[in-house]
Amino acid sequence: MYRLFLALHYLLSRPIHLLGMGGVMLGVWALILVVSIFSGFLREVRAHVQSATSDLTVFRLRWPTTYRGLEQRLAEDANVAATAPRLVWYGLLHPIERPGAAPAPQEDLPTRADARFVSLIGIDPASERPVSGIERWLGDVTEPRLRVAQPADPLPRNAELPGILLSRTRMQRENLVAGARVRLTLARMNAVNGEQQLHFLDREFQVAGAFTTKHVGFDESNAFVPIDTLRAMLAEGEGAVVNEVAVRLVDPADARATVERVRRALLRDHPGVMVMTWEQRNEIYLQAIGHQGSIMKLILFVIMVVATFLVFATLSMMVVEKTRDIGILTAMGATPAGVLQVFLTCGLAVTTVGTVLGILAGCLSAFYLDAFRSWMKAAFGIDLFPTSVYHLERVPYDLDPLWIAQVVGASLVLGLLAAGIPAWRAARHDPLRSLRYE
Amino acid sequence: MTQPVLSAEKVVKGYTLGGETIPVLRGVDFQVHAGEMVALLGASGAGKSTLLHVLGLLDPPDSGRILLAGQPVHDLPIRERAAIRHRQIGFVFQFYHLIPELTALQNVLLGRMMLTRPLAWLRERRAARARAVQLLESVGLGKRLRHRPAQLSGGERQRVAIARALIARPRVILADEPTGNLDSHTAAEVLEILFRIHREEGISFVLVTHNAELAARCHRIVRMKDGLVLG
Amino acid sequence: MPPVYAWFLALRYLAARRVNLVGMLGVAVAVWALIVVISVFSGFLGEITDNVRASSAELLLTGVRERSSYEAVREVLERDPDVASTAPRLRHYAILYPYQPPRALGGPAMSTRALEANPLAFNFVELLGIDPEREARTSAFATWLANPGTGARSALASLYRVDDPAAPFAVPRERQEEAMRLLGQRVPPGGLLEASPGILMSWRRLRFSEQVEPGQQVELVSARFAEQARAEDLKKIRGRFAVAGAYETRHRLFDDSHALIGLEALRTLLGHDAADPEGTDLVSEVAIRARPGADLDTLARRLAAAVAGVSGGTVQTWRQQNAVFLGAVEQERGLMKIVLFAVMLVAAFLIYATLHMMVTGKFRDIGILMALGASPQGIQALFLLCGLTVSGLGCLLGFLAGRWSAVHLNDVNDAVHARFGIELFPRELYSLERIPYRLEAEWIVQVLVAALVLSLLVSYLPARRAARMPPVRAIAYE
Repeated sequence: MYRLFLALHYLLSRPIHLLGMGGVMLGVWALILVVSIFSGFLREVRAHVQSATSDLTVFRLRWPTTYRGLEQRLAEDANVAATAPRLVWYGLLHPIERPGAAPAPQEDLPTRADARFVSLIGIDPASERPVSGIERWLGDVTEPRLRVAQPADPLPRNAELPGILLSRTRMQRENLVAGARVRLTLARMNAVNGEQQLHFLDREFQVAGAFTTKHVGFDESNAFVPIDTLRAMLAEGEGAVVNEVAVRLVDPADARATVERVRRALLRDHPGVMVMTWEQRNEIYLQAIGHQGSIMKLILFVIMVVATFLVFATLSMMVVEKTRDIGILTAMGATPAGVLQVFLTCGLAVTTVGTVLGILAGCLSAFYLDAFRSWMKAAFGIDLFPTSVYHLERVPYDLDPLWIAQVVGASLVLGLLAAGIPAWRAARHDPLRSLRYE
Repeated sequence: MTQPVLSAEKVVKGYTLGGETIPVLRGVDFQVHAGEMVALLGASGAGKSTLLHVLGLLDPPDSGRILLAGQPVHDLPIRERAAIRHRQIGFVFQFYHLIPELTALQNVLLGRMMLTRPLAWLRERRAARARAVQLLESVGLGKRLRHRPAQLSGGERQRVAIARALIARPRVILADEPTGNLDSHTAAEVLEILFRIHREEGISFVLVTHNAELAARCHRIVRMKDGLVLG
Repeated sequence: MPPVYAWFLALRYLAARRVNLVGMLGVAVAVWALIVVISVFSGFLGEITDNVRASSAELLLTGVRERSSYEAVREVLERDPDVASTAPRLRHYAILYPYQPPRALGGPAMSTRALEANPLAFNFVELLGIDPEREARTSAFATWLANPGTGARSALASLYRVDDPAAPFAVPRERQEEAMRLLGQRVPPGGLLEASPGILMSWRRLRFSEQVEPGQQVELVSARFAEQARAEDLKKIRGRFAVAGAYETRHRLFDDSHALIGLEALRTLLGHDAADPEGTDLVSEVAIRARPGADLDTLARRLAAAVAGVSGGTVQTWRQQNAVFLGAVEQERGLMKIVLFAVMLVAAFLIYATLHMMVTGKFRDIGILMALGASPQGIQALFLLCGLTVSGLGCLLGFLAGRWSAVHLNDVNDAVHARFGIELFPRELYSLERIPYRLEAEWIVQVLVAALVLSLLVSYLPARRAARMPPVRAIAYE
């Protein structure tokens, strides 16, 4: 009992010993807040990317591949819920009816002329609906002038001109509204008498309306057209040609295993075919963000190290200061182990309370992140997180219990180290020497 | 008679303890003349040490005056009081009060460093060192210059403290029970040194002591009781 | 200047207690981290900014009226004493097809990873028509040609190195035929009728493409509106070029999107030749190099006003041309500042704690010193000196360590990679050969001064406490 009593008494009698607590708290706070912002950001970006990508994509199919056989083969896998045929091509898009020149927004020079480039995805709306988020992509457009007239059938077959769905950003940039006419220019290589020749393909489309996913990169480049129209342009008389298949899984958690299974099943009939999950397709982008987070963790860890130094310093000074007490304690019958425990308790109490306060502060500032952020901005001019760069409305955060547990573990281990060395020295102290002092 | 070197006039001093003011000195008059050796006798708690601190300008009096060579000094700014303490007054304490990190020689030298700027010190260092060595030799510690206080006996420590008090050539040395912590043999040695210094240098001494025998060897005995000087 | 005992004792106190070493080490760790992080960070930002700068002309006249003639614009621009040289540029967009049977289908072939990273970059290309001789004088064109293959990155790079920077777009007919043979294409009997004009692709694009032979022919497909834009006037454009080699500005956005061709070749492609006799001089933008020392912003405004009557358009400095990109890069600093601030703060706590405890421990010494005649100011100076010495030495140590580890960062990264297979810093992700670092004196001085000022501030409190201690209590009782 005297151990706990003494430890608490030592700590509370000299508030300076609690400073180590402040250091630990600051370190834990920063670790939790910054990392939760980063993982929240990563989660948000992943969600955005995922919303624009189907669970699995089958691509690099040999030309011409027809959909029917593929569909059957894919449907055999237990984890495949639905599939949709796609024909992906590249083209140039020129608005024909422009309701006036669009004032060019401030944009960087090298990307400015991208305006004409478009990556076309030929889809069959009926099979697409259960596979990708197309319904939501259309529904999320709120501007009446940009909205699709019939979201249930966005690309009607019997229209005078074939329809095209453009991204909201593109329509705004080009100053287009639903009903505008655009011209698509594409080309493909044809073998004529054993020699490759480039053929132009050229067609007018009517803008059916806008779509918007949250993945800015996707919206930037893609447009949807009816797969039949694209087939008629590129593969006249070659049947229901596809070069990509989008797949929805029953259990998305099992995606990695399914990829392998599906690939093996398809490989015999379709050599060179590739199957990827949405994560694999966007690997580089996601990796870059994840890596920034881990560098941040490394830097934040320095705070914990300096805080450990702080605990170590105050504790070893306490030991020096209490040399006499240690002598008296030993004289009164305390064992070295008991002395060790007194000082270890001091150190651990400091770290534990610091960690708990740090977790509280970290969680609170994450919950009230927006308020905290605007306060930081007003007070110090520091923008915690540039939301505009990543097209987010608010700073995301994600408090991961596992990460908090890791932080607690690390700070306790460091605290044990910081407390252990002085405590051990105190325990080894020769009681006679400290009593003989003066 | 000549003018006193250091004198206290109607000095009143009290300490607050737990909200209550305890009077320690209640109107003390005290003088020490040039070359005089005064013994200050009295029971524990009579106010001897406090009088010594007030005389040494460590503690300002609540009322009354402290005069140094006839000039009032108790109300000077704190820096000037520190300077006077350094130049005119030397302290010797019962518990020696050496700096544990410094060697005997360094402890003595410290007594010369208080007002010197680093650049001036470069010039004075050699002379100061020679004097410190000479002082330590004169108190019989010529062979222990580089020992730290922890390596010295109580008598040796006190001799270092005496050398430290002398290095700034003060006019008065205030000694607070300089032998109170020493066995009789060592105490006698230390006292001999004090008396010798008094003889050779003509420095005034105020010796706080319980020891009647020692007091008898002084020029004058002043007795204190309950914060007042008797007789 | 504090009296000599303050210096004397400060050093003795610090040397006597090892716990002060901990304070010093704490400051050293903090300063070390700050210096490494800041130097890598400014290395990164600096490298990116340098690359952006190298990819852009100092000033660019852009947004000119249609059918603006270079000669007229040049005359106005070069009249300005601060303009060193100008270069005409023509810009258009196209889809690129390698002239080769693609592996699976009639579409363009490319690496999957590259495709996923940036689908637009490797199919679509912005054509920049340039005049090599004028361009070399005006922008960093010569460096663009020299860049690929520097270092020992790849033997492939030397293959794409342009042989003659004076005539970068010349690809001999024999070389084109050779490439056709290598790719298993049929060379017409008697050889090609004529050599196709050259195209310079970015090193990034070539590296990610699956198979491109030097001299290989590629086809471009594009379209453009005739002057009075009507749907019917959309003219289809196609052109055949031969890969002349690689360039690299190292600004990723530029390299991902641009291919360089001869100005005349692009004019021909756009139909400004036989059918359009007055079109032989058309430009869409003009790159401008200023004389050294000229203030770019004022010059930009002056030139824009000068050309208002000739071609119209705006003149942008290289910063303005890349404002959005550079803005995004700068934004990265926010979180970093907080983190660094927290590190500093904890280090300051450390100094405060050690000094505070030192003052407590030296309670009696303070009394002794006062009895010896020390003034409160002197006592305060003594402890301030202690704090400053600890943090000063910590700063020095941290600075040396930080400098050392910034300089040897790449070696450490390699060693860790070789030993444990973990790459601390995935250079591939940012397509960098080495981790860039920049020890900017300005930043380092800021960090050190901040550290010292902070430690002076936190030393002040304990030092003042020491100065105010009543001396009597310290010496009166044991």
